[in-house]
Amino acid sequence: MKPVELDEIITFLKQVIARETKLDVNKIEVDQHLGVFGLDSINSVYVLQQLEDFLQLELSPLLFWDYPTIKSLSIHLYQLKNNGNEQALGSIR
Amino acid sequence: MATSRLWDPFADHHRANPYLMYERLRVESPIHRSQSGDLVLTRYADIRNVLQNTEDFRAGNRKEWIERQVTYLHNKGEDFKAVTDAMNSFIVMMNPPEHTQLRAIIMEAWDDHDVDLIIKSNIDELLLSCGKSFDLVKDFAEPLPVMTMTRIMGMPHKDYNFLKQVATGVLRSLDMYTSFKDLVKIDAASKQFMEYLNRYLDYREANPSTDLVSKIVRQYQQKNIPVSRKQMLSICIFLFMAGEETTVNLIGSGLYTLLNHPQQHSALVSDPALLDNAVDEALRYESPVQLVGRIASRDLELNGVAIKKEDTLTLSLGAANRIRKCLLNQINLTSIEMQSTTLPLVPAFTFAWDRGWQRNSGSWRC
Repeated sequence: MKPVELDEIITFLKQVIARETKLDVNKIEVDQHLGVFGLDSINSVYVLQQLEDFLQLELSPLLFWDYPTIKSLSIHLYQLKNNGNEQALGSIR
Repeated sequence: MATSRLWDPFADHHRANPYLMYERLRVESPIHRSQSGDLVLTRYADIRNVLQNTEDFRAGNRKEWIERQVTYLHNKGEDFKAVTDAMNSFIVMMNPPEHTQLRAIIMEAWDDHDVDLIIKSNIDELLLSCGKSFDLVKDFAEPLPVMTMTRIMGMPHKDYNFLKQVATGVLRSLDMYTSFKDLVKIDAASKQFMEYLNRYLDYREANPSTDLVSKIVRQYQQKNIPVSRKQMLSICIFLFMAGEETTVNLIGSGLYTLLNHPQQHSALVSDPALLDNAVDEALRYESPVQLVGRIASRDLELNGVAIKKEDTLTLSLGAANRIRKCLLNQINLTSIEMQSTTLPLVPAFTFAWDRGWQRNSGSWRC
């Protein structure tokens, strides 16, 4: 499977969060708490699904809360995707 | 990086044994604001207070969440209306006075004696088919509640496998977290279950009998209470699946606990009169439902913690029912003290319940 670059994950997250929260993609800061953008328990389900499709991974429903900024989330997803380090999330479902 | 999390229910080691996580929460943060914003409660007294205070804390958080989710996805062109239809009259998601009314109707229609006979006959049938060596969960605990509800509700025995499949699908709607993919599956199961029940209700209205469904329909007619077909479908779905997973969990973890406590096992074998107490003790020691949800109806304070209107509370029955001394792995079948402390669940629909996660789904041979 083709590796995914960290920048690609960040760009994808920014785009999908901007689309869901109707914010300008340039206003999405990687260090800000996701809650600031209006990500909540409802719209996050849809964002998570798009992220799973993009990365071809099964992800924890608590993902956005455990990694609450785009920066921390992207690093985590990058490691998960490219290092095969799925142990922490191995049996989410 | 993720910070150290007191509340981490999906970690493998917490799935295998959540009690150390519960204990840490109870000591360090008994009313804990989790990373997702809900409050996780682990102390017996707090949980009892919340469950008893129906004025300030309402049931139905999963139903309300799914309704909001389905509305949100509807605006994206995704149709999951079957999920909210299936859930519309789940008794555990209701509040007084609707809850009280439905509960009274079910209790009047429910016949303990008939149910006992059906359960006993199903147990005999299953044990006969099991042979000398069998998988307790797969061959006994899983079929028992589905066979039983099929008979209690008067449905044809041949439909049992189909009913098991759709009921298990709809049951996921009570999970603590629901993903988009989960919703797709719940939606499909809900549609199939409702189509089946729609035909079944047509049949039962034309051919009433002594089954639970006919009796519930009759109760509504006698009391002159209007009930829509949509409500009846949901009532039937919940009745069918209510005892499914809880029964499987109780039988599986109950026997597992006894095998891990050989002295208790011997005591029970030599004195079967202890059985009723043993069941209560198994319910307490390994609660078949680990978590239930509530929503705060107003701003208030609980043991010094400010709770806001609409805050979600996750009540850990598994933690509350395991008081400190039980962490030392003590169970006591003869204790009457335990009976007064156990938060009862399934038998009388006393408290609303919510699925936590399926800790006890692994099957094993005996």
